[in-house]
Formats: sequence, C-alpha cells, structure tokens
Amino acid sequence: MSIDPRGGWMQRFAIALCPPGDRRWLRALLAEAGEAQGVGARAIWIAGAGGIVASAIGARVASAVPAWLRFALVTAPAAAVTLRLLAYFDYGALRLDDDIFLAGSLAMAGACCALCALAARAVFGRAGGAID
Amino acid sequence: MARRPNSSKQTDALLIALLSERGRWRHGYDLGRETGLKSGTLYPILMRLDAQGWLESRWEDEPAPGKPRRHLYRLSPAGADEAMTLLEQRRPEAAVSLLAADEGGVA
Repeated sequence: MSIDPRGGWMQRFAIALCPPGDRRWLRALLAEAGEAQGVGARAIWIAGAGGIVASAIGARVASAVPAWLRFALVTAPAAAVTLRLLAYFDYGALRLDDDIFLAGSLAMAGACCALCALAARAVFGRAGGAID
Repeated sequence: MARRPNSSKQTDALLIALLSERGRWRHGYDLGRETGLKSGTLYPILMRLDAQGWLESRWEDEPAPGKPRRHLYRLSPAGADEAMTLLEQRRPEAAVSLLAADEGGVA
C-alpha cells in the first residue's frame, strides 16, 4: 500500500501545523512511510513522524506565544472546570450562590475560546505560517 | 557539562551508513533499515546534520509510479571530512574499515 501522493487532509493539516522550515522533513517522512513493509512497520514510522510534528509544534508555540498567554491557556480551562464543579456540587463554604460559580465557569469558558484564538493568531498569523 | 554535538551512538551509526556509500543518494527509510533507527530518532539527526551543513539533500527526480517523491540525502564533502574525523576519534575501528573500503573502491 502506498500513501496518497497528494496527501490526505490529515497529512496536509499536520504539515501546515509545522513551522515552514520543518515542512520538507515531514513531507519526506510521510512520503517514505509507503516504503515500510507491513502495518506494524508503517505504524512505527508514522508514530515517529507524529513525534516530530509534536515537537515542531511545541517549539513553534513556545516561540510564538508569549509566556503569559501560555500560562493563561493552562489556568483558564482549569478554572472553568473547577468553578463548574463547585456549582455542580453546590459548594457552600464560601457562602456564595452556586449561580455565581456557574457564571464564573461560563466566563472562563469564554475566556478559553478567546485565548485559543489569540494563541492561534500568534502562531499562524506570522509570515509563512498560513496553511498551504 | 554540555554534550558534544553529533556524539551519540545513533549519530555514529548514521554517519557510518552515509560514509559507507559516500556519493550515493539515500532515502530515509533505507537509512533507517540499515542503521536500525526509527523515524523519530533518525529524522531529528538528519535535520541536525542538515542544519550544520554536513548533509546535502534533494527530492527524487523520478518517483516510482503511484508513489510520492522521496527526499534523498548524502554527506556533503565538508560533512564527510568532519564525520570521518569524528569517527576516527570515537569509533576508530569503523573509520579504519571505511577508509579501507574507500581505498579498495578507488583502486
């Protein structure tokens, strides 16, 4: 079995996520996956490609997204989940109405969406970062 | 203490594979099969060697029918010299056999 020379949408998406300088390496890796004999060998080869994509994306995000935004991207979802759980279990120690926790949770969920959009803009809004 | 660049066993194995057929263009899967390295190990080394100018790379001119073009690699002249120097220090026995094979090929 050979890989579709034009590449499927997943391949194109993975390539687009990589920094422009690393894309030829991923294209090379994916092209050579067709050489692997057997499902297991091909899966190991593709898993290696996945690792390279993950590290390239990680480096790209680390270089493009400021530290405060990365911190907010981790803490905002955690806060949203915590507030939602407090509302769900009707937590009373703070003597606050659970609707306040619910509203806070919704606000944090909205903030998560906004932060994700900011991060995506920081990563893909750079020259050469557009999906090709 | 910082590690010396290109000082891993995996890098040695790749350099030996590339030096054993110095002028020949090789593709990644072929190198992986010869060295026993998986793609997740092989490609970061290839990327690093390329960034250091040790490697020449190009896309295959005429791919097999129905297959995508493969990326081909070989050591640059400067990279081959550097690699041989490195192997002489780290793997003298491999360097000697590579040199012997080289002289045999030239003769």
